[in-house]
Amino acid sequence: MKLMEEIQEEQTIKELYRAITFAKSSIFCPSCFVKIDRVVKTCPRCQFSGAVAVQKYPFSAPMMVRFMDDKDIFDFRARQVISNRLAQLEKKFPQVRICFCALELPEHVDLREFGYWLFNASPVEDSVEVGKRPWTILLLLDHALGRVSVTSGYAIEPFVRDDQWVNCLRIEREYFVKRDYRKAGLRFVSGAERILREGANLAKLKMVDQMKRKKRMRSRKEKKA
Amino acid sequence: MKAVIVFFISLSLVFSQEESLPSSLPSKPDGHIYDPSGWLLDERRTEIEETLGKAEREWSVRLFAVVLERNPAVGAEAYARMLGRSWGGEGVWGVIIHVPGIEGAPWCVAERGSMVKWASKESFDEAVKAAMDRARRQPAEQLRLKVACKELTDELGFLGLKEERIERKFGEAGNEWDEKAMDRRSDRRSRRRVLFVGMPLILLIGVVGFFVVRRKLRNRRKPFLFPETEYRVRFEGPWSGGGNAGLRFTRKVGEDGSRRG
Repeated sequence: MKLMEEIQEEQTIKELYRAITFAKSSIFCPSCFVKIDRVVKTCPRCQFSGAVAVQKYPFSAPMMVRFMDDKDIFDFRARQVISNRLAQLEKKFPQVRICFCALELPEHVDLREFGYWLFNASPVEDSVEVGKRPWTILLLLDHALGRVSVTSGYAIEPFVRDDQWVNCLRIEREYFVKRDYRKAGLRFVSGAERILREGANLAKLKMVDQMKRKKRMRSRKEKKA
Repeated sequence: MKAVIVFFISLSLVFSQEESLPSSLPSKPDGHIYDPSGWLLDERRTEIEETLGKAEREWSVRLFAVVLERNPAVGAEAYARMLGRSWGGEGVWGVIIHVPGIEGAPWCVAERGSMVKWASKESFDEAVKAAMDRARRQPAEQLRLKVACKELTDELGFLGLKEERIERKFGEAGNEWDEKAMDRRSDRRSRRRVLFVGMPLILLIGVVGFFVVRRKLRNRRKPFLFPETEYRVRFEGPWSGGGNAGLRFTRKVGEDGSRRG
């Protein structure tokens, strides 16, 4: 407990942890999905980058809000129920935001690539959004072609993994198939909470571990001094 | 002078009378038959001894057959009573006294003693009387004595048996009652012990459980802040590097608009 308090204190002074301390997800190109073992500006295989994405989708992206759904795929009741559930989740994980975007895309457009573009191209107009965007998890739903994808921001990325999202979507698949988006959305939020809790537990362990290591280092240094 | 003579004569008479009274009772015989004159035939003797022995062995009733040559001065029944009290002890006893050649013999005196709790005096006396009546109906004297012994053994044995059964029943009932009472007492004691040990234990578990659950709930409700990390900025994306989490939940659409797998 004491260690956790110390960790929280450290968090308040915003010490930055290296993302690699927690992250286990590999880096994939959002266009050709080649696995890349380092941080790059452009994909070494397909030369994909933010600029390419902007060229590919030369229109303005919508504001990142809880429901980006012009065609009311998530009806009023569904939005209400999912919002209530999200409020609960945000109490537990106040940094995290989950957004739902329902759209229709041509088949040649990959939902994951589009998600990358939307996430980055969506306007950031105030400091609140600046704080929230990296902690955002975006669920993209192409209801016409029956596709769904998840894109997460840089801040939350180290605590979640792509395979966990895929599993979560697979579990809720039948509700998407039935076009029961209320239930699908609700269950996705529950799944997200589970994934976040796992990430949180792992983060706690890692932080405790790091604290111990730091303490040991400090005491060694003091002894030497 | 005459008066003195009369006095001495009467005194001598009294003394002679006294002499005729048994100055000391004979000692208890080895078996159950006192027959100093040997009047009883050996066969009868054996039979009677066996019968009376059985009464003592099986029902703890001490019966004696006494054969006297002449009627005692105190009377046969009184004498029998004296013998019975001397030989019989505290338990049930009976003395069948017979004087050969005397009408109405044999006589019997029996006492319940302190042992008999369940036979009333009336039923006891009645049993003795019935036995003796049956014996007196026999034609021969030795047979009368034998039958008297047999009948008395049976009657008193029956009473003894009855008593024994009743005692046993009461004993068993008592034992059962005692066992039940003991069981109940031990049950109560063990229940109390369980309560003494169990209640604090249950309370302790409850309190510990309460705190554990409360702590868990608090921890669950407590907001969790993920630590800040260095962003792995890539592909020139300012907020996200995209991902590889996607799923298709319906069939693909063909060029003609039809769905294909």
